[in-house]
Amino acid sequence: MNPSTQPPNPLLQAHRLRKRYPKGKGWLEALKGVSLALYPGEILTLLGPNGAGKTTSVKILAGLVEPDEGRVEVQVDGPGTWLGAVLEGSRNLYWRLSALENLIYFGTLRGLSPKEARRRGSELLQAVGLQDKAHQAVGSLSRGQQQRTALAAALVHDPPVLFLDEPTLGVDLEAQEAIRAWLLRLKEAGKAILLTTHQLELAEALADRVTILLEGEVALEGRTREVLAGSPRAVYRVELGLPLEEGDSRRTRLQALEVEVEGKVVRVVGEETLWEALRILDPLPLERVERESLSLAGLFWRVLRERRKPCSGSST
Amino acid sequence: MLRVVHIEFWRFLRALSRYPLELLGSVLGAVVVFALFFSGARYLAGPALFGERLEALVVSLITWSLAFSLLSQIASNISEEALAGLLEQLALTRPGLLGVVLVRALLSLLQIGLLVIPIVLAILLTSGARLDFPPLALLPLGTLALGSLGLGLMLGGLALVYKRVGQLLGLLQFAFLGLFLVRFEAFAWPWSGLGYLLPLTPSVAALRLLLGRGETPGWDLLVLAGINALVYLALGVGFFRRALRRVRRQGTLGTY
Repeated sequence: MNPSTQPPNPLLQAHRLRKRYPKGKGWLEALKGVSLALYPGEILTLLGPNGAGKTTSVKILAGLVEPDEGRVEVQVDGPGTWLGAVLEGSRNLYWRLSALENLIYFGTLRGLSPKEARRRGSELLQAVGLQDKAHQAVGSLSRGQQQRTALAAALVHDPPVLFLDEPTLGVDLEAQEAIRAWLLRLKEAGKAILLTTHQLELAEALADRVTILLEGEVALEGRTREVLAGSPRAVYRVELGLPLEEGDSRRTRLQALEVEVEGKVVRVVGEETLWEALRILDPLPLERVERESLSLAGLFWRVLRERRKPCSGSST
Repeated sequence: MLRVVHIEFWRFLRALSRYPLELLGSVLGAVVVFALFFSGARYLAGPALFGERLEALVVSLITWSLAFSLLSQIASNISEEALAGLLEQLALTRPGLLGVVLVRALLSLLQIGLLVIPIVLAILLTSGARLDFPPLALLPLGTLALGSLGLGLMLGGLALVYKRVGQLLGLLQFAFLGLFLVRFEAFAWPWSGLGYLLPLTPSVAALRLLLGRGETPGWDLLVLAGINALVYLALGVGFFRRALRRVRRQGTLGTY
């Protein structure tokens, strides 16, 4: 989405959400003051390892979990019908009903007339390429087909906001591609989409904005292009003329700088470290020194590593 | 709301047409159990076993079957939806989870009606009892259904929180059978009054008089049946709402 066309008010805004769950004799802090905003015509991707608070965030935004602190503001009318959701760990559909019957049922429960729900359901099943499976029981469909049906069911009442918690989990590549293409079309149609996924390539292909959650906190957030391009600690790839042998003392000195060494390739994070690494490598022949274009996966792993470094340091 | 009733009825019919043996199996099972109970008891003890109280016993068993089917259906339905991972999707609808549960409970009256009619016929044939059915009986039947709905919502609330309530239902059916067999209307004051504070008991007493003895119960008993049903319905709705709030706080609505 073009920032200049961004409306002043987001469709959905969460302010300093806090949530903790009882765990053993203590508490597990699932969210520690998470704030988010979701705008129409954009895909916001929530990334984070397991237990980072992604699903809790989605469920609080959807009203399925009550936060301990903080609030959610929704600028859309329609109680219970302003959003559609595909939730992780749930079937989302009645397996004994057919794909179309599920869409008719959920569409009617979300405010459509049964006739309207049938028409919308047929259109959506066609849009996700399942028109020939419309009358087949959902339990007999493949995982990918079930997920595409769940996505259609979430959209049957044409909600302005869509929450997708791991929509491609366990789905084959063909279905993943179909879901990816469809989400882009939905974004173009103006839907506000909140996506959580472990598939970083999918996130990079789709996300207008990205929020990385770690241990219940927002570790990084911003426009995907900006966070990738504007990272102050870029990754440099140094290709040597000769491989750095095991046992070479320079290898130990480089590893002390947290430089990754793999045969003839050395990866360095940050410009200062690069110069130090080059001084250590001097006078080895160099083939090439280049700044790596950072992927979302690279950024994610770097944020994760940097975040965990002080923790592991303090624990020892 | 009519739209929700329509779509739930449609879903029920779809399931019935696709899996007719499920309902047929439960009807046949209940018919066989009651038929064996009465014919077995008669074979062992002779026709004088129940004496004058046969009709009262038959009415107690029928009302127990009706009420317990209704309340256990609400709890079982919530457990099934939790197992299928659909509670959250139902919560994200216009009527919300409570609305969907209430509509389904009303529709299950129809389903239970289908279930109870053959059971009643089987009981009457095997027991030799004769029952009247005056139109006034619809009134205590209605209060029985409303009160059962309240109890069902309480059990449904427990099912929301604890997910598995099968064992509790097993225990409760015997407690209810005992409760329904006690003739509080024959007790002296204050025991009859205290007994009528228990769930559904005034409705069952009124039905025993109407169907079993062909007597018209006093309006005080009918009013009491209505108040009792409404109180338990209100308690049920309140309990279910509290349970829903609790699972939202705990974040366990979608877990099983």
